[in-house]
Amino acid sequence: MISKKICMVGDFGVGKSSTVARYVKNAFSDKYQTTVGVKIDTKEVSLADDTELKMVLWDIAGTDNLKQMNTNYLRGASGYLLVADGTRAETLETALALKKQIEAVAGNIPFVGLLNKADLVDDWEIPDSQYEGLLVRSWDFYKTSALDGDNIERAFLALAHKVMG
Amino acid sequence: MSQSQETEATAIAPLSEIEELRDLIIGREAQVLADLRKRLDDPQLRAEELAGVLVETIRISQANGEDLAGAIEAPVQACIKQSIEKDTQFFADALFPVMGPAIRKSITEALKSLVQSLNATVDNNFSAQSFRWRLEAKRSGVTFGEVVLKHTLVYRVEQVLLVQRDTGLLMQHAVRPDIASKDGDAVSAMLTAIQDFVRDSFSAEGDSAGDLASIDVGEQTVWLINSPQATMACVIRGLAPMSLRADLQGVMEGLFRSHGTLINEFNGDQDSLLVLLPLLEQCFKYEQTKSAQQEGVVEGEFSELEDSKAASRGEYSNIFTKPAVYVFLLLTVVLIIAWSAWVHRAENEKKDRLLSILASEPGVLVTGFEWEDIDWYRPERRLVVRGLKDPVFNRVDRLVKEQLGYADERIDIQMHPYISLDESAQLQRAKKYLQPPSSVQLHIINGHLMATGSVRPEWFNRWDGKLLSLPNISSIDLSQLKIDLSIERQEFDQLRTDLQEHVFYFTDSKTVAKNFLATAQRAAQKLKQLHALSLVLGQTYTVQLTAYSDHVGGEALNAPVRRLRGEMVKNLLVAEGALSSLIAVLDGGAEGVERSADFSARRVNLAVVLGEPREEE
Repeated sequence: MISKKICMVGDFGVGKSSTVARYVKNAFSDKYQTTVGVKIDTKEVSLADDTELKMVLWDIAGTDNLKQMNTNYLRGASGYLLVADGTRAETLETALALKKQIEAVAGNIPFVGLLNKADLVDDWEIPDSQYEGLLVRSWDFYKTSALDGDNIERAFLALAHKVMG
Repeated sequence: MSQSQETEATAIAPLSEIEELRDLIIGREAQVLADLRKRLDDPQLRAEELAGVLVETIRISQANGEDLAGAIEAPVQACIKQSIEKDTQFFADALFPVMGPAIRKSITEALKSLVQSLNATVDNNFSAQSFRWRLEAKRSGVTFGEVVLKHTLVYRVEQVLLVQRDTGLLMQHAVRPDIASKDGDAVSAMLTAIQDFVRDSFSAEGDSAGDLASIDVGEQTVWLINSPQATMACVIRGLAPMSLRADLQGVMEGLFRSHGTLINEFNGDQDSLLVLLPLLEQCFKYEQTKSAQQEGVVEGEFSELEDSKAASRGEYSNIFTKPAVYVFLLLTVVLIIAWSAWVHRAENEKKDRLLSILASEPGVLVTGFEWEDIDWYRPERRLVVRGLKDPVFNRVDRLVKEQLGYADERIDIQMHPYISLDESAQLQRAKKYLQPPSSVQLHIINGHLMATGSVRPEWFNRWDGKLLSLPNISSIDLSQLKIDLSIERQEFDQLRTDLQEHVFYFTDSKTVAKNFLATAQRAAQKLKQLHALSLVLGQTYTVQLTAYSDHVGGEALNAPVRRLRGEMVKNLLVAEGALSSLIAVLDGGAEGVERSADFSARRVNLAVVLGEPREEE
């Protein structure tokens, strides 16, 4: 089995930890995020070519500025999940800004974007045009719901394929 | 010279010039080249030159970490093999100085291990300490193994994680079999995160020495051995000495020395680094407390800990895979056999003593014996002795119990009655029949039973003419016995003395005193007893009645009076049962003051005189 380091980045309250919790069984308490600034979980996935991949998920505490984030946590990452809150449009802007900063630090490594909280349709703030604009740039962005679990598995699997690609 | 010749000469000339020109330009280099060619073409020369640099080459290769050993392994092996095949003695001689110590060390270590294992097994199961620890485990709710570790370990390295420094990915994870570990990948990543956090938080900018070196967690400590490419996290229970850190550092360096390339090229595939696992397991060092070392407890307790953990994981079900268990079982069997042998030996000794005693016992004949099991689980057996016993002897059971101390359940003497013709048995039988007093000795002479000594007449009279026959006794002779009449003699003499105290008084010539009759009756009674005794003793005697008078009236008158008085007493005694023929009346004469009346002189005295009766005077 191959292990890869995957980071989860995004603004405060976008649902990174909830997404991870939906996807994996927690190994450590959430309090690590507020103390150390990161919480680790692992998830094993089987890819289409029968490759077994263990994703070591670094759930980095939310921030809107990479300078406030411990960049060491990004070191050696094979990919990352860029998480935004679909009910707060500004979090997508933050996510895109973080992406640029990550590329500056870690290079052009694979990523998958999540527009989370898709279950809150009434509060959704990101227009379809903007979402399609993301897709047009050949970025993988998924509308996900940590509450319902919608698309979360797909998003992680997509990133796994990219990392192994 | 023809044109063609000229042309040839012209052509030759330039060639020569070219040669000259070449000699001028590269003449020295050509010489060098020729020398080099000569060196390369001459094997001897090459070998000499190579010998000069070979040692240094090997040294440099070794220092650079190149796999020199692997490269020369095959040829060296072939050389050794060929050399041994060629001359075995040479290698035997070379190895001789190290073989002895090596073998001795190996045997010593094996014996120490065996003894320690035995001690551990015994202590583990039977020691008071083990019992206390089990109690503590029950009370505190933790496993027995954990209690043992707490009490016996100074430290123990329980797991080692090799972590890629940049990514925090787990490269390899070595865990003791008895340790339950969490997700190594998550742990290694979190450890890296914490290390990064600490470094960022507390190290100055560019401070390369700011790596986290150790983390204390309760009874455990995590030592982080860092290198530029990887971190080795060693989880240690207890308090490890600092010297251990150097050992762990050595292991880390060894990893890179032997597999540096593999480690540097790690891409997340842990299988590619499986080769590191045995090296990481070298870090599983531990140290026991001195008391645990002396008592040899820990090895055994570790085993139990491992057993319990393995069992809890469902990986372990057969304890008979452990050599210590076999040793324990073997020891138990040996002890049981030794104990049984000792018990049987003691039993046989007792049996021999018993048979010896019975053989010397008169009237007892042992015909056989056998052992019977008392209970299937007891080595003690019951001894069944069969034989014949003359009923005159009753002390066999007493002998067995008193002299041998056999418990009732351990001995069963089955004796059938028979008549023994042993002399001692015959004597015993005769004694039981005749019941002689202790003053009698019995003898058997040629089938005749003879009694000697003295007996009382009543015993003798009991058997006189009434003797029955005894087995194998043709006659019973009591004629040699002396009849013991000492009692009768004593009584006879006493009666004589008593009778002489009887005096019959008269108040006047014919009148008797008032107690006269009673005295006569007592005297007559005693005389009858005396006569009976005299018959037993064969003693002849005479009862003499001597009559006295006073002087009053003169001798002519008194003489007949005295005679009359004597006869009166005799007649009275005879009337009371005394034998007349044995009574003689004698005249004692007159006593007292001349011509005066004297009451005390008017009497008849009684005396018993031994011997035949005399003519009456």
